[in-house]
Amino acid sequence: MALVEPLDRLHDGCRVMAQEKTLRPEAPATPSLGDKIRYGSPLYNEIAEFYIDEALLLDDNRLLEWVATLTEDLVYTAPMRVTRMNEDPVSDIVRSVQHFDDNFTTISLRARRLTESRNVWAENPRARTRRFVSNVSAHHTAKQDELAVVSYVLLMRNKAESPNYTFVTARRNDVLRLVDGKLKLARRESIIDMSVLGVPHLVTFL
Amino acid sequence: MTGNQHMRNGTTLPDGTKIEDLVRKQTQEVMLRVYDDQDLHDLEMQKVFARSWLLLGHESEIPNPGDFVTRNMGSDPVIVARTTDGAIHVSLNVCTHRGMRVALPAAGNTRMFRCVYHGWTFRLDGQFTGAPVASEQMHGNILEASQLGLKQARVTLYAGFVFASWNIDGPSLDEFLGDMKFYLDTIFARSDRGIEVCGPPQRFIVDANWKIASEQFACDGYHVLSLHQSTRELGLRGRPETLDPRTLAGLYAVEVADNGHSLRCVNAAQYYERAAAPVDDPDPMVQLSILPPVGFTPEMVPQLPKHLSLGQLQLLAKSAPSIGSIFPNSALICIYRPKLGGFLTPMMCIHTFVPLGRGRFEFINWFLAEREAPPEMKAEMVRAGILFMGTTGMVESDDAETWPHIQANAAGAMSRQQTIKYQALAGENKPSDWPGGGAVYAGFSKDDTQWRWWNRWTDFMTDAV
Ligand code: FES
Ligand SMILES: [Fe+2]
Repeated sequence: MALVEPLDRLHDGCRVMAQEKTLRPEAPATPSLGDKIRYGSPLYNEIAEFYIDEALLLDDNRLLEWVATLTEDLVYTAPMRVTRMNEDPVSDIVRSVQHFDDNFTTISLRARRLTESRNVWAENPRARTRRFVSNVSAHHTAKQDELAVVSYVLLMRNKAESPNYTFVTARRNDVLRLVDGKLKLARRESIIDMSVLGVPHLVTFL
Repeated sequence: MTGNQHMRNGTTLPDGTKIEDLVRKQTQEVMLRVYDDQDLHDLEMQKVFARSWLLLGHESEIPNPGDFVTRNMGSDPVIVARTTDGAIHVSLNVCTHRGMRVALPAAGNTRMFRCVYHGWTFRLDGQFTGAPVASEQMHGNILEASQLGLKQARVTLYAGFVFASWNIDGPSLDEFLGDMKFYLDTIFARSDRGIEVCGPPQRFIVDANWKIASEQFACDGYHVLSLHQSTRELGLRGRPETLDPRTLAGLYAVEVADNGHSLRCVNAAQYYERAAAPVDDPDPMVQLSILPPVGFTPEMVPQLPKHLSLGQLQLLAKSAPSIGSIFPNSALICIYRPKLGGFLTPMMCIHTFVPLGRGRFEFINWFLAEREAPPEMKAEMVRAGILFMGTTGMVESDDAETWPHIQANAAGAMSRQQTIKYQALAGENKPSDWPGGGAVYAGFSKDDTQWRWWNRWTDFMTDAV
């Protein structure tokens, strides 16, 4: 029942997705960094609060509320890592193919699948997750309303009756934007520290 | 390779179980134990993986002389390298001195391989070139330098895919692919410039036996209805009738199989609703210019007759080979992901399921595109692929979550004696106008091609091939 009405909106979503120009440069342009936002300053605290609230939404599977904290021009990616020798000039961070390469529409689609479908067998029963976000460092950027924020995330995940956790760590390169006085996520690049992912899938957002 | 009768019935596990007891031809059942048996796994490494042709990647991953990637052939590590003359060599990544891994990274470019342990060096084609401290002749005086090279696999390229085998005198890759090559050509060998990888593969670990994934791709269309129901709910299955589970749209197709390989040929007409021309136009090029093959631009369509026969063009126009498996452990997906609103997104992937012991495999997922396709189209194909397939795919995450449960069950004292069933056979029923060879099954996706997969596995395990 619940799926009937939202589907129409999804169809519109697909139409939008189809008309979009999807090409993106190899690496998202690094925002030119301005002044550092000092640890413990009011703005820093606001950023830290954003991440605390975000982790709670994600861990509580309130994904549609989380989607409301994303900007509609969201770029959400997770590069791959390819092991190379230290002296190899080629970067071990790969963006030609990634683990996520999503925009607002596709992230919304993923979020709806995880929350509205009973048949999401990858996550029904869903994993219990706990996101630990730390090492937040933030800078102003050339754009007055945008902040460049680096954070570390440790995602612990326990599934079904398994006595073990699987976990993923990543460095997150974010752009947060002030929209009507509130911070929203405009860009996230999660650089996962694994080359061969030790999980059967990573549909969980980082 | 007509394995004699003695050999055929000779493969027996230490507890006296024969392969024929595990794969029961009379009743079309397979003991669940096949997924969790160390002796069987060890035998498989020798009898299947050390003898079959194995897909290791694509030559576009190593375009320049000196480029190499490291991969696995069953349980053995290998180096896939391009030499200065452009040829591709596959060498066992095991130093002939004391067994160290010679190439350490996943990818790189080098003029030669130098083992870090004692410093022996090898050319890109695996030939031994020297041991440090030449004055002391540290490679001894028993073996010639020519005998100290890295062990070489036999290599054949097909459509740029690197296939390798340890069966040096065995059947050619063409013989191995058999009647499937006709169908595979319609996907991989149909354009002037061919296909390429869009980047390195996604890699992840699934705690399941490699056969669980491989047999699914041997055309288990049936599971889509239940396991991938969420994509239907989200409206991602195309025309409205395909969204109604009662129509079973998409589950009726033509499945073809030979030598354990198989492909689902999906009736392209389901996408044609909005096209201006009649679906049944006798000239396949008319339809192909309305809806180009997956990954083709309209401008590329005139290339098709140069590479494909009329029969292959008809197939591509009406019933395009779309999803399937290459025995033993590879799979392919080449489909339009229907988008509502009349748009289609092409996507093309190759998977391999590399065994890491009996209860674990590495899932390797490459995204492919036509080399000649414009960059925007390639990028769109990759993005669509990421959304549905591989590590974060909305479709394949459901599969990867399911397989470990089967694996866990295969360990149970009672469950391992239970059988998995392939008893819903359609029987061969090739349509009279079907242009290709092999065993052909038209209709609902039943168990035939998967049962053939197990028969092929049995043939390898019992030395019948
Ligand atoms: S093991 Fe390679 S040089 Fe000794
Ligand atoms: Fe599946």
